[in-house]
Amino acid sequence: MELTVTRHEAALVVGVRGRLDSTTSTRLEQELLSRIAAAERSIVLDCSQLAYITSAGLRAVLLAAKKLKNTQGALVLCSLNESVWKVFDLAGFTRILSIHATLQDALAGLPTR
Amino acid sequence: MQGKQRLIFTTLLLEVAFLVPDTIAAVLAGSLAVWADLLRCGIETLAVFFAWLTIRKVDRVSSDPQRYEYGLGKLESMSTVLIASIFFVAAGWVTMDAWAAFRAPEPLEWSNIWLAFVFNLVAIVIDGGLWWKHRTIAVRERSPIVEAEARLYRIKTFADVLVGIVLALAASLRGPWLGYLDPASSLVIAGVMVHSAYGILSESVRDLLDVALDEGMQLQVLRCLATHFEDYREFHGVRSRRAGSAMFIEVFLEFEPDRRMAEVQAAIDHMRDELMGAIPGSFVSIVPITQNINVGGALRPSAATA
Repeated sequence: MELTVTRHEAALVVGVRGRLDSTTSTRLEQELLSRIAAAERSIVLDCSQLAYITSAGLRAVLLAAKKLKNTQGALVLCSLNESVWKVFDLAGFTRILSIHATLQDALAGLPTR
Repeated sequence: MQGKQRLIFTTLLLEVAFLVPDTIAAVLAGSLAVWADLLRCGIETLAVFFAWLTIRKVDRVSSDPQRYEYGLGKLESMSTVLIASIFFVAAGWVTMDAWAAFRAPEPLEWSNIWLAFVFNLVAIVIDGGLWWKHRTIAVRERSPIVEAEARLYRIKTFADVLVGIVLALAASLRGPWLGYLDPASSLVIAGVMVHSAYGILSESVRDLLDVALDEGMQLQVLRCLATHFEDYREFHGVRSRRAGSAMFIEVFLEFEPDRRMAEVQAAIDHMRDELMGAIPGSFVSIVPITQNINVGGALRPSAATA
């Protein structure tokens, strides 16, 4: 799994590439939590290169989403492929998270910093 | 649990009752496949006996549950490890006998094997029925020991059918190659034993090592957390493990500090009942906590509070 972090005007975009499972989700969790602890309030998780996600990956996403919500921030997801979308939907995450088709849509929906 | 104990005791009685005619048939037939089948039956009877002892022990200890609050399920898993080990030994034994028979093959005579053939037909019906019955209970109760028994009867049914085919061929055909058919079929039986033992062993070792719940159940937990997303302040992790047919799930949540204890308790009760309903056989604890947990289970400060 590879993480890329890009600063945009509206948010910090964290790109996830590869598989997000029990062996790799800790890295994503630490990355997101350290950014939130550093007062980051709007994070977009770009899943365009995310091939596979397990419950461990979903837990990292839930943890970050909750922390951002408590600080009036937002975690937004975009570009989920069909199989990843299905896992999010099965876990009921599509009802509690803001998910967009493209990165542009995701950024457009966020307030400017 | 009483249903499991009754089923295994009935199975044990049937196993013991069938050993007598099986032994007579094997002596008369002189077939390696029939002998291998008898050996397998004998070891399986022993395995069923161990399974029955285990279930009895679990039932007895269940009357004093505080003594082994988490360990009862492990007893079941340990018993299935023993059953798998016995399978491995039996497979090795049969393989050695088959190797010897390949070096000096002997065709079977119908006059010697007809009794074995008749017993075998009866065994197919009984073992097939027991396979179906164990499978039904294993699916309903998710018990490792009944699952192991279901696998055992699947092998038995398969082996019975194979022995039946060998005996039928020996009776109806002629030729020097028929001498190799008998040890070859016993090797197949040995292979099936090893395959099944591996399946039993891998499942039980996972249980003994406190394996977490499988993905489907983990998603159920997350679904519950998503449904009650507004009821807690922070999510600090999930820890789960299986012990036999029991599943233990701990969900670590932080609640708003200004909420009354009664409100928090009501939210916890609601989530716990929902999860226990969604995952039959689970024991769910919702743990109010203010720290994150890592994968290994040790506590570490959360990033927000560190």
